[in-house]
Amino acid sequence: MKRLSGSRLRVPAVMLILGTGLAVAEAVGQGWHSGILLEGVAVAAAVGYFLLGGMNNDVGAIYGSSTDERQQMVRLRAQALTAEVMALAVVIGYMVQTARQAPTWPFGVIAAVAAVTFAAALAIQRVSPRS
Amino acid sequence: MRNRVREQRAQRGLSQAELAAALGVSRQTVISIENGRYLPSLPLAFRIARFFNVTVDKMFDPEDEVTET
Repeated sequence: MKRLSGSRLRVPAVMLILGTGLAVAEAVGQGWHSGILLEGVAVAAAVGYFLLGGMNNDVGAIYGSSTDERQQMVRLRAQALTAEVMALAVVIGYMVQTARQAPTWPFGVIAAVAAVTFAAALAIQRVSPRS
Repeated sequence: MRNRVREQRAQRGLSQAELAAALGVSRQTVISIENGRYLPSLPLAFRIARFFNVTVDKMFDPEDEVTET
């Protein structure tokens, strides 16, 4: 029997742990019905991610654990695009909350974390770039 | 940039999967290199050249640019 790679299990396991935390928070705040529903979604997402990682193509390699240099580049570009879209979403969210005179601090926190992370990443990568 | 990976592989009667296994990359990456859609890193370019026992400049031709539109 083929032994499952630990790194292929890592992301689904993290998804399951975070999803379970979210489900517990939902159960405490909104009742156990919605908590169970959210746990089901977390389990389905983790299983889906794990199954995608087993596909014998670029998508499988990127979701799995054994990427070559081109697939790493594809993943990096996809992550960069995701970050740009998320940054845009944060700015739009901030504007909407400002117009509604609603609290803007969650978007401010996300933007601050992103800015600090980007600056730190630049400093780290300049010193020791990942090849 | 054009390359002679497909030509060299065909001369040796290797499949894309066999070449990929020998180079330690995926079959999709070999296909992308052969089609000119992906430029390999310098270490991979050297691995390819050494595998086929030719020099890098014989395997990859910088003068023969593929113009993207």
